[in-house]
Amino acid sequence: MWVFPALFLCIALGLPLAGVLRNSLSDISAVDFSPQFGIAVTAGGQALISTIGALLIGLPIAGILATYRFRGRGFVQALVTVPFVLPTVVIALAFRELFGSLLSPGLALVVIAHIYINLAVVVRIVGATWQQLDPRMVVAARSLGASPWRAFLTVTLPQLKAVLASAASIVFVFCFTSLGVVLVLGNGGTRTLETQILRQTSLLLDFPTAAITALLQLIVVSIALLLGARASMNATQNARNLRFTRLSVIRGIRARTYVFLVAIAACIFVILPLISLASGSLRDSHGWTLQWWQSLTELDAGTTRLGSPLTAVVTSVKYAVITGFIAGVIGVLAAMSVLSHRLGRAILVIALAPLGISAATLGLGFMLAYGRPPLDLRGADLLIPLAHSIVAVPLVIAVVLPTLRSTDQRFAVAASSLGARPTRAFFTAYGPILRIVAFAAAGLAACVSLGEFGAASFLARSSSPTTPVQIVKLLQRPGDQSFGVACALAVILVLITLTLVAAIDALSRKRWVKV
Amino acid sequence: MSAFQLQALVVGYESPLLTANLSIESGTAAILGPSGTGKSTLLATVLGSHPAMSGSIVINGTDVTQMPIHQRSIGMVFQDPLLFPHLTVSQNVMYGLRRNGLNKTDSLKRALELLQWVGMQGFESRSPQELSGGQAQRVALARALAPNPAVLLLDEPYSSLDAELRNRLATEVADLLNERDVLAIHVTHDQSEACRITDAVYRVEHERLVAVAN
Repeated sequence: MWVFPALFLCIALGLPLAGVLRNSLSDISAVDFSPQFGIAVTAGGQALISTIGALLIGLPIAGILATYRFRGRGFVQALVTVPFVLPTVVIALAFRELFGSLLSPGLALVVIAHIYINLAVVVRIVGATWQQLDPRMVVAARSLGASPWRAFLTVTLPQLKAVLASAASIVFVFCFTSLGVVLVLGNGGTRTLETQILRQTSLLLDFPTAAITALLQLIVVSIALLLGARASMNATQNARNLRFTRLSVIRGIRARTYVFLVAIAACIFVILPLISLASGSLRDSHGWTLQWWQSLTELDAGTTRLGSPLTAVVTSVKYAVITGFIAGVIGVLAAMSVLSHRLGRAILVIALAPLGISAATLGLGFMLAYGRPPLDLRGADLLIPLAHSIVAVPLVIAVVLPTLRSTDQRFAVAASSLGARPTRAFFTAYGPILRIVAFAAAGLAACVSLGEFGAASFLARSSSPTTPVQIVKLLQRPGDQSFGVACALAVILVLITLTLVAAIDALSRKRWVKV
Repeated sequence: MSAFQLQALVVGYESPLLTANLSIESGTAAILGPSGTGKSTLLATVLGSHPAMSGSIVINGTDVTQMPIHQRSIGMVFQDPLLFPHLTVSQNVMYGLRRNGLNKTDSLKRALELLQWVGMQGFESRSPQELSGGQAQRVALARALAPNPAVLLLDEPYSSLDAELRNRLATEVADLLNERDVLAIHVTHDQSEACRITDAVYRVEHERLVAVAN
């Protein structure tokens, strides 16, 4: 069970990372570090502002969702999760269309788009702990003379400190390693180490400097994640005070108004850019039109004469299916080996490592390991799905492992006592639930592949780009047509992604019904 | 005029659970009744965390029915101690004093007095997680009484403790409340405990509060 995941991790993670390390260390003395440090500092500043913004906007939404029971609560909760599953390039394009001439591309737009994407991280992570805080603590504080605001500041907020730090570290890492958003909205002035890696490899062909930049980014990301993990450990220590509590009914006109305003603001914030994106695909400088949608099948409308823009969607779907299969199988096997083999925990640690490694670093690693003679696999259809799989496997494990752990192991013992061999006993206990959860996890991996831009931007051939790569290339061209076609492609990607997410959600519900 | 009055107070959720008429001058009154009869809802309504359906709550001549919780001057000891886990024992007791405008030095001094009063001296800098159930409930009592509330509500505060500790703590707390002449309302379903430690006993019968002993 552990052999396949181990082999996969060696090929898809070990060799590419070894390539990055080898290249960065081979020519380290010849590299001028000062520009990379400068960019790291400005990217850190941008990530910090984005993180603070995401916390400030996400906290009130997390608060109403974690505290109150109200009509439409489920809808608001699902809606704020949508930006996180959408491709970053699509979101960047939506904000570019939404603000148009009001706000020219630059730091402000990058920060707003980052807040939008990471809203779900704050709402989900902080909300999960907030929902477990005993609401009677606030009542106790109020009975001791604290006003509602004072009770929040002195009782609720201190209990959320650890989880806030944990969420902040994750958001910081996402923003610090942002690529698609910065490329589309950064206007060249706002940069991250990730955009530098792309520039150094695709424009300057300076692989040693790119490898060192990737290493520098890896160090910053590791420090941020370590700080977050420390905070998370504190949160776990405090977890014994937590319990699942029932949501309260909203009482009083002030509370009702507050919940209503926060919920409406959250919905508008999430939906408006998407409406703007759809509108961008249906308008030109003269008014409403369908010409960008009609252009999707025309050879002239894309960035390659070898296929129409719509071919990019076919390519993306093809890669998503392959990624879903590979990541699904490897992720499930890795999760199973954690439960059944002594090497399982080591495999788990290695398989989760890509969470802290940027997609561009992986893309660069793949290019160094498999994209140059004597082993040039860029022509093969398997290279991008392999890179996407390494990004998606941690998510598959995160979905599958808790489900397996929550399954009653005594079924396996009972099966063994009735004469079943170990593998048969395992599948008797876990088989029924695995069938459902593995499909959901594979769907999630396919979702990741559909929107992934970092690794694909390194590995996609110019003759067959993925949809996010095609969108960015179109945006780098002047003219209304390129922009309109990019919007139409983005709308298709949004629809496919949301359909997939809805299917995963339906599967997850089915699982609970069966259990 | 009575210090604490409930005047035709109706409590409940969608439909009424309990109608209460009550008048207490001093001492501790117990409210008895089986689970689900609205005793805890009555306390939540008096405290202000749950709205009254009709009627009024009067404390020292002031109608507090529409007042927010933090302005009612009502303290409460819950079934669980509910000590703030991020604060130490003394900081928990100081919490209400600080909210009521006392400076840090004075509130610490008063908190230490109260902790000594409930037999918890030496535990000032401990975390609530380091306390046993009985110890935590003593600190919760000190915390609730620290801002000198006009009325103290006790919602089955010993129900999570074992029988021996429950009896001992109930007697000790009753003595402490008598010593300070605190007006308290104690909700319990233990009849012997109610008769032993309180001055007046009320029972929930047919959705009404009925006086059974003085």
